[in-house]
This record gives sequence, C-alpha cells and structure tokens, in this order.
Amino acid sequence: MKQKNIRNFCIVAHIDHGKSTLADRLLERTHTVESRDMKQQVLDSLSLERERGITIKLVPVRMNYRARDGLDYVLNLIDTPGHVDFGYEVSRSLAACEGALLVVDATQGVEAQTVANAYQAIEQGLEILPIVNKIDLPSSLPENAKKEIADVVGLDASNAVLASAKDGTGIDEILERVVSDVPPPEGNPDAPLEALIFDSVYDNYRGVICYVRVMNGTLRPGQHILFMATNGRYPVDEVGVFRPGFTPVDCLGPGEVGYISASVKSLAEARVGDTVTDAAKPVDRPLPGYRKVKSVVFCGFYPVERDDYPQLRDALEKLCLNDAAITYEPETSVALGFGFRCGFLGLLHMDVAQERLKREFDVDLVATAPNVVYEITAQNGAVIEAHRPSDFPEIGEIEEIREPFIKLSVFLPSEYVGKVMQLVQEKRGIYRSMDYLTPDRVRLVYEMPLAEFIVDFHDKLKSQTRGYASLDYEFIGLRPSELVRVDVLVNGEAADAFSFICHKDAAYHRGHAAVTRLKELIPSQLFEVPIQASIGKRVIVRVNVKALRKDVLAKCYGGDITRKRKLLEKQKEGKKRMKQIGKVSIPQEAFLAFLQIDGEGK
Amino acid sequence: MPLFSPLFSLYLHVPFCVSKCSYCAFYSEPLGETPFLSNPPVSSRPFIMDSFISNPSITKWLLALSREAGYIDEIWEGRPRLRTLYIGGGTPTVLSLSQWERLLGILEGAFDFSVIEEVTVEANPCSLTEGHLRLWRDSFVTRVSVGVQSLQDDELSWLGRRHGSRMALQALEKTLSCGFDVSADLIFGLPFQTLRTWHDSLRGVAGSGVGHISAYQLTLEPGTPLARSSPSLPEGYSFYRFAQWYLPRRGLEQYEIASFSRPGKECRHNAAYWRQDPVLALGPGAWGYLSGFRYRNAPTLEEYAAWAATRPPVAEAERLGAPEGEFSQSHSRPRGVEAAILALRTKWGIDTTSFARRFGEELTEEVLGVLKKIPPRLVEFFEGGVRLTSSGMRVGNAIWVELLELADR
Repeated sequence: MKQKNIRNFCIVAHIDHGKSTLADRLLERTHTVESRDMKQQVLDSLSLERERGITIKLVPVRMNYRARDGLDYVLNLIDTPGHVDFGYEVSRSLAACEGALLVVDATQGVEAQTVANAYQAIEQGLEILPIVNKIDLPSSLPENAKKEIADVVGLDASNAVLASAKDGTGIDEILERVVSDVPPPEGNPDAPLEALIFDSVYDNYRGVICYVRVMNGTLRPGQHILFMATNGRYPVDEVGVFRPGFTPVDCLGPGEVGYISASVKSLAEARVGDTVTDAAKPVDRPLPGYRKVKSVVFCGFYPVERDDYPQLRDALEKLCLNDAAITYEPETSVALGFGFRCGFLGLLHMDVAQERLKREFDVDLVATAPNVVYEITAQNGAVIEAHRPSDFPEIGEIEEIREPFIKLSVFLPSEYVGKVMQLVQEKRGIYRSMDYLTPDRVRLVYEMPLAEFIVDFHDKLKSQTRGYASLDYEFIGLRPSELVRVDVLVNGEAADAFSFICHKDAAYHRGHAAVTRLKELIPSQLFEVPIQASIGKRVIVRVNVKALRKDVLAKCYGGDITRKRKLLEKQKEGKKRMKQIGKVSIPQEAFLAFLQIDGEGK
Repeated sequence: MPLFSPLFSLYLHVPFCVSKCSYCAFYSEPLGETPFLSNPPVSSRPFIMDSFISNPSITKWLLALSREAGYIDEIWEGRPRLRTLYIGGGTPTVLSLSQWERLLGILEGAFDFSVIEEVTVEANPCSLTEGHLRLWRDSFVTRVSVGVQSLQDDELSWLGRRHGSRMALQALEKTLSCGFDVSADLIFGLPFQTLRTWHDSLRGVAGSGVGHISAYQLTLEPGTPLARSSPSLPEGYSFYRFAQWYLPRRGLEQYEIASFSRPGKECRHNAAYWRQDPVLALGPGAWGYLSGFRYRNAPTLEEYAAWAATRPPVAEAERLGAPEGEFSQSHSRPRGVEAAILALRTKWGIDTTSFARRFGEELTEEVLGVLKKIPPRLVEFFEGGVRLTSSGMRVGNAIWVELLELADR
C-alpha cells in the first residue's frame, strides 16, 4: 500500500458519547466485519469493557475503503481508552495517528473529557474532525453542540459531520472526510527503522505482542530489533496487521500500523511508548514522549481466605503479564494477614484490576481503601516516599510533606455550581477558574489533592449534581501540604493499624470520627478503655469504652457445668480471634472498618 | 482429699411433666393430654394426679430405676453413704403418692441415709398436694424447692406455667408450715418484665419467709419453643443488680451467682457441684461427677430402660466434657481451672491452701496471677483466699474466660 493511501486516525470522546458504536459502524460499512458477525462493539474485547461501556485496552483495526475518488485506501483506526487513568496510553495512541474524530453527543454537548481529549489531540498535532453524534434522538440539539465545540473547545465546527452511529447516518461522510481531511503519513522506507509501541499485550502462546506504528524504515520477519528504553534485542518472528484479527504480512512500511511478535517474555521489556529500531542500524535517539508509567493510586489486595494467598500471588503475576502498569509488593496487615500492596494508574484502573482478578482468575479478594504516596523531606535532608502512615517520621523530624495534586475540570449545569464549589472546597480544592460555557452550563477548574479526590469525590459529585456533571483531571505534580499523621491510642497504647494521614485542619474532625467508630466496634472490657487520637504527643480527642457491666447468666448446677464450660470455651475462642493491643481485645471488624474494606458484592 | 470420698451426693431426675414450659430444655416427657398452650388457664387448685397413677411411662421408669438401684450395691460393694440428695426434674410432683412411696423405697434400699445432711425435692405449685408434703415430712426429705418463677400472672402464662401467683404463694405457705426448708425459684429477664414487677416477685417470695431464693436469668435454650420464637430478651443487668441489692436487705445474702439464702440455709447439694465433690446420677438424663469425670445417663426413658434391663446404666453413660486423662490425673490443669471457676461462683471463693493441695502451687500462683490483673473492684483478696465482689459476679464470664486460657498452657 502506498503511503499516500494510508490514513491513521483515532476517535476521542467523552464517555457514553458513542465512540464505540461509531467504531462498530465504520467496521461494518467497510466490510471489515460483517454485521452478522458483529458483536456489539467489537473493539471493546474484554467482557468487562463491554459491560461497562468503556474502553480500557486499545485494539487497533485496519479497514480497506474504496473512496468516492475511486482509489483504495487503508484506514487504521486506533481506539483509545476513554478514561483519564490511561492518559499516557491515550497520548501514545494519539502519537500513532495523523487525525482524530472528536465525537460530541448532540444531546449532551461538550463535556469535561471532550475538552481534555481534544486538547491532547491538538497537542499531538492531529487533524481533528468534529462529529456531532446521536442526531437521531428527539432531544438532540446539533447546532448547540456545534456552537459548544466552537466556543468551549475552540475548534471550527462549521463543517462538523452530523451523524447517528446508531442508525448509520453520516457514516459514509465520515469515511470520506477521513480520506480527504486526515493527512497521509510521512516517512522514509529506506531510513533506519523507527516504530512507536503504542500498546502491547501478552499472549499465552506467543508471548508479548507489540502494537506499533512505523514512522520510518521497514519492519520484516527475521530482522533483529532493539527496544530502546529497555535495550532488549530480539529477532522478529512475525509482523502483521489487524483485520481485525491478527493477520501476518511480509513487511510494515512507514505510516503503517500493525503488530510485531518477537518472543518477548514480559511486558516490562516492551513498554508502551518505547521506540523499536533495527539492532544493526539503530536510530540516534528514540521518538519523543516515552515515560515510565508511575502508579498514583495504591491499595491492598488480600485473599478472603488466608490460605488463598498463593492463588492471589499467581493471579497477580499473570495479570501483570497483561498489564504492565500494575505494580505490586507483598505486605501484611493485622486484620487481613498476608496480601499485596498494589499500585495503579488511577481508580478505574484499580477497579478493573480487581474485577479481572475475580473474573479471569477466580480469586476472591478484599481490597482496602485506596491511598496515595506522599513524599517527605526530613530535617536531615533525606527524602522519604511514604506509602503508609507508619512510613512517616516523627513529627519533629519532618521538614516538609508533599502530596500529589490534580487539576480538576468539572462541567456542570449552572444550578449546581454552589453545591459543587462547596464540595470541592471541603476536599481542599483550590479555585482556579469558572467559565459560563452557555448561560446554563459552567466549567469549574480547581486544583485538588489526589488523596481527597480518590476517597469518594466522584460519587459525591454525582449525587450532588444528579449525574449531570462530568469531570476530567490531570496530575500536576507533588505539592507541599500541611499534613499530619493522626495516631490512635487504645488504652494508652499506639495502634498502628488505625493511624491515618490528613490535613491538619481536618485532624480533629477525622480523629473524632475515628475514635467514635472504634468506640462502637471495641466491646466492653473488664475495665474502662480510653481511646484517643493524637498528633505526635498531643491528644486531640478522647472517648471511653465503658467497662463491661454484665456478662454472666445465672444458674450452673451439675448438668449445666459441661454446657457452661463449652459456652465459656466459645467465648474464649472469640476472644482469641481478637487482636490484643496492650490489655485490650480488639475484634477484626474494627480493623476492617478502618481499611474501609470494599469486599464482595460491592 | 482422697480420690474417692466415702460420702456422695445423689441426683435423681424425674423425667415427667404435665406439660413442657416454653423455656425449659431439661429432659422430660409431657404426660398431659393437651399440648403446650401459650396461654393455659390458670388453675385455682392443684391438678389431680390420679390420671397418671397408671401411666405406663411412669411404671416403666420406676421399674428401670429399681434395676439401676439394684446395680448400685454391686458397683460400690454395699450401700453408698449419701450426704445430700436432690430429686429434680422434670416435675417430681407429678408422681402420685403411691409412686412416691415406691421411689423412696427404692432409694432407701440402695443408699445409706445415716449421715444424710439434706434431701431436696423440686415441687411445682400446680401439682404439689398436701399429701406429698405429709409423705415427705414422714420420710427423709428436708427441703423443698418450689418453682415459683414469678408472682405476675401474665409473666407466668407467657412462660407457659400452668399456675398463677396465688397458687405459687399458697404452695410456699403450705410447704413452710410443714416445717421444710424452702427455696423458691424466680426468673428475670422476660421481654415485658419491669423492675417494678421484678421487685413485686422478689418481695412476695422473700416476704413469704423462704430461706432460699434462686434467681435465674431467662435464657434461650436451643430446641425450646421459646428459642424458636426468638423473642428479644433484655440484657438483664438492672434486674440482676436489683436482686443483688434488694435480697440482702431482706436477709437473703448472695452466696453464689444465682443463689441467695438466709444464714445456714445455703443449698448443700449445689455446693457439692461447685466444689467438684462426687455426685452419683440416677434416672434417665441425670448427670453425675466422679473424680474428675462428668457423665450423663441415657437421655431418654426408652434408652435408659433398655440399658437398665441388661447392665448398669452408669457403664454406658456418656462422658461429658472431661478431657482425656483427667479421670486419673488429680493434678490436671483443666480440672484445676474448672475448680477455680466453680469456686469463684460462690462467696467462699478459692481457698488458696486447699486449692494448692489439690492442684499444686504452680497453678495456684497462675490463677492468682490472672486474678491480680483483673480490676480490683471485681475481685477481693482476703486472708487465705480470693472471691468475686458483687460487681465481679455480674461479669463472671469475662473473668472466667481469662482463667480458662490457663487450661491451654
């Protein structure tokens, strides 16, 4: 295929604006997939993705299209994950394209992720074709949507395609516009090989399969290639394209999108964003934009049954073969025993990993509430990465604590502005801007600690705005914060498992909530048990668990003695199952409550 | 203390009732024609027992009992000397006078009553007759325990009792006037009971002149109709604490978790249990304790009678709760821990010297060590021993659980 007849493009859209349905229609119209073989939304290959209507893993596809000019074209569609957690993967996919379809729902207008995605595409220098989708719906307002694209995103939407992916309206026009508007790829087939890995997957039989976009040079089976970030060298077993299944070809030239299979054993050796070059004739420097993904959200995974720890470990190992962005290391918990501390790109990523472990590996697990990583500079200059409260040095030894911040954009109907501003401020949000997109739609921009965002922000936002708000965020780095570690003392003894990190202004409130909760969960003992929350040595709040006042059932004669003893034995076993902190017996539920376990049937 | 005391306590179980009370888990066969009624008519006079005279179950039971008694002589090479005897149930007063005569005859034939200290019979107000009282007075019975349970008619009917408060008080009066030591059972912790009604029951019973009161908390025993209806029961703290406060003011001191008495009127038979003294069992479902091993006779009349026909029921008795080896091990830790727990039920508490003699200095020190860590308002150390205070008795389970952990070491 001649380079000038290739078009590489992707679709970007806010969640639910119809991206996957549109992709399905394009495949159907180009006979890449016959409609009778069409599963709903072919590209979302994980069952989980189909259920949730979101795309997590990218699956590219190659379409053959004879345009109205009578020429045959190859259209490579690279689907992108529609979630901010996968921002880096999105950027690499965009880098593999020359054009992007920007899909906007004609009933909803521009949403938070529409803007974020469009800007990313512009940043990558892509040609953007606005598509106003769902025009078949009675409530659709295509002109408003076009106006919002112009006003809010700032793109010329006068020639936007009006489409309905559902009934097929506008599909032909979209294909024509891809051919006419998206520029053909550039690149020199005789230059040294330069290919971008925009995704890689693990196949049980073939090992790692890299999805690549060739920028310059040519890829062939038998060629020795070099992964520039990891310095791995492998002979190529097979190259091919997606039709949409893996189809081997003789070579991949500049501008082409396809896959390489080279017996690479682990995803860590073929990282997304890395540059593949010819081992014998390498390029001087890799393609720009590569970075090693870094986990931003962490949580603990523990087996429901303690004996199932090995199964969980095996499942995590296998899952990580498929998803190099997950990190994990063993940890132990007072309440849950042996498990793993896992790092993720974001909340959705975490959710998906948990779900996949359950479905694909049949592992029953409990997940602890997510948290972030803090960076601490000690007075002696040492820099500490603190994953858990116990990693924090004593309060007097801390020079500065930094925590990850995000820039948060919320699009919402103007009637909810007051409520949402209040919510964001409660979450330590810092106001940046507010724009009226239309008289009744507003964009709020705040900066906010990630730690506050991951707790329950999304749920609260949804309930405050009845689901009418959309949000997008990006990481903007670590910032100093006035954080403190609040310790909980039970009967004067520090109980590590109950410590937590929070802003100093929230310490009293959160400390109060913590000791009150513990008061409910710790059963009465033979003596009064004080429960205190403290910052360093300073106690900020105290409650007491009253001493046990009655624990005896009256009679006990000859025949009762055996029964009585059994009851006492049972009571003893119950006590044994509790964890002793000093003289106080604390039931497992108390520890679980503090981990805010998100267990079965969430 | 020798391994086998030459003196025994004997528990005889009478496994018959007119009808089962809703809360009771003891073994008995209802004799009444009518099934259990949640609101039985409150009878104004005792049931006539004649209808049970020729009851085949009772006849069968008496026959089996006489057979078991017949083996006693073989096993013990002579008639064992009894210190205390307790005839409980069930409802011993459902037996007619002639059946009682037969029963007392069997006992006299099998046991030596020459040094007997106490013989208690349990009596139900609705089946207790003056005939019973006369017969008992003329035999060796010294003490009658009357199942009063409450002096509130609505409470009694909720419990499935077939008598009212008047009848219960009459039963106490009659028994007292015959010169017996009298004990009354009372129950607290009913769903609709109030401190006021509890006070009324305590006052009425204490005022009748009884020398002993057993105050039980209502518990849901598995398999009882009450447990099946799973009512929500109060924690019972205020009732129990009130009894602990009120009864001593009326001259009835608390000498055990559930027992209150005037001076010298403590139940000696029950004390045998709390001291781990040897107790023999007679009759189906009866339990005994011999030198560290606790056993129970066949639990139903059917099985019991079958055994008794061929061999001593005690040989087939189910050994209960005694860990392996305890039978022969006089210094067994589990047995010592149980001894400590039982002793702490009573106002006498643990006598350090005799406890050390029975179970060794080491365990004694460990027990005292555990008790010293208990907050001082709950335990009282005195010259030669340690006991629970009134507050300690209220949280006995939690204290005993601490001791029980010693048994595992």
